[in-house]
Amino acid sequence: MIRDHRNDALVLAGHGSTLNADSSLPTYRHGDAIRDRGIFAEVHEAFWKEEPHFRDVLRQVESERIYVVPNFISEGYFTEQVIPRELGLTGKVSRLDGREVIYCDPVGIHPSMTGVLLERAASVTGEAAPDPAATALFIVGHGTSLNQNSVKIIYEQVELIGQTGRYAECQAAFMEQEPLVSKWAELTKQPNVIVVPFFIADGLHSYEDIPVLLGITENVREHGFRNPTERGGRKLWYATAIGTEPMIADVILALVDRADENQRTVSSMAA
Amino acid sequence: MKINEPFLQWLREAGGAAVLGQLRISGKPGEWIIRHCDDGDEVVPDPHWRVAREWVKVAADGTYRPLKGEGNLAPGRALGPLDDRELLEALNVIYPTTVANGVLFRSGALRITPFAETAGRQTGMYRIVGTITPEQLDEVVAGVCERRCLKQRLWEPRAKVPELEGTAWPLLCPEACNLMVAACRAKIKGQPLTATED
Repeated sequence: MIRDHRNDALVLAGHGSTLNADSSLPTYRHGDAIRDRGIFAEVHEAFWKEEPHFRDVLRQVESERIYVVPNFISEGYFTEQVIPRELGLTGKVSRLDGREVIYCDPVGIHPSMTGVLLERAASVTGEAAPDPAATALFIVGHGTSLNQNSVKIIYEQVELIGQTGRYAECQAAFMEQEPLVSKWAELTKQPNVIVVPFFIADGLHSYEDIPVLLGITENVREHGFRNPTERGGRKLWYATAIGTEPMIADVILALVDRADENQRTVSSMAA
Repeated sequence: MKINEPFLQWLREAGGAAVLGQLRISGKPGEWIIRHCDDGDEVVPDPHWRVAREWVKVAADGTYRPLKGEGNLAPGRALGPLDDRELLEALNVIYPTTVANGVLFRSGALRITPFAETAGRQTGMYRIVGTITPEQLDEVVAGVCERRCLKQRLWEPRAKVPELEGTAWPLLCPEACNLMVAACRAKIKGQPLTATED
């Protein structure tokens, strides 16, 4: 870390769910990983749909400098409107009741996500890793006009992964817009396919819907699916949501560093 | 603002026999034990505070508990021995912001948000909550807050005046939560109060 945070607090802001008991799990796991490193005086998790809510969490924070990192996949409605409004933020750095609250970028947009995606792709195939020169990697998002920022970020990551040359192909695919993930078999001719969902948690979309759209199960809760699944003589591996990757804890810390760097730049420009 | 030490001081003064919602806290500094009020001392405590997240997740009937103040915390689990910090982490999981709300209320610093302000702030799918009628609000307060939640509501209608004496720490609600706001949306749309969407 570029700054000493032993007197500071970290607040991870996730979406949470009133329906899915495991939606908040990745946020807690990343929080615990950072707690265990002893970098911050306090680590708190807060949610839109679970308690503590964004609106309330700062009351239980004692530190005078607080970093808020949205555990969201992209900038959008929640990171730009809901979280700042509920926390009462006035900008990237806010003074609230004598405390400094530093609002960091969301997890999904940090450049180190490229490495996280590659790690997730490598770990899902494990020791049975296929020949990368005969493998297509798909990064899958939700799509639709709800949040075009997440679509943009997926295309950016696809471009960056393509530049690494790690796999024969890297493509974007979506649940509800072209190119559709359900058409994966037409989108690539590679004999091996790895699919990584660009979602924060294994909720309805990544855990239940995408495996059905891929055709690797009829109902994941009843039948599960195999990794790899063979389809038309080709092998397909489906990973869990990128947000469950343990490396996300490092991404969160990198976002805190980035916020500190930005602040330093602003103060040196002011001087 | 110091939140934790005033609570710990209150706990020490309670002589290790404090009640907080459905929990009772016994022991002494460095050796705190959290038990369910319905349990005796025969339940073996788990020393890892993070187990609290599993405890609060599902009720005894296996249903998910998105409302932490709901009076359906399952008995049969206990935590401890916990040091001060672990105790606070566990309480922040089981009854989030309850320690802070109580400390702030005692010092007169807890801000209470009228429902109209909460409703007026909503955007997106919850913007409609700003159109709620007093009758609809009354029904949601009765059906969600008063029927399900143990917290003492500090906002109208029918706000409560908390008792601060004795060895029971108050569970305070200074502002309508998102679950209640979502129930208001369901009410306005003519759906059951439990109809939730994420």
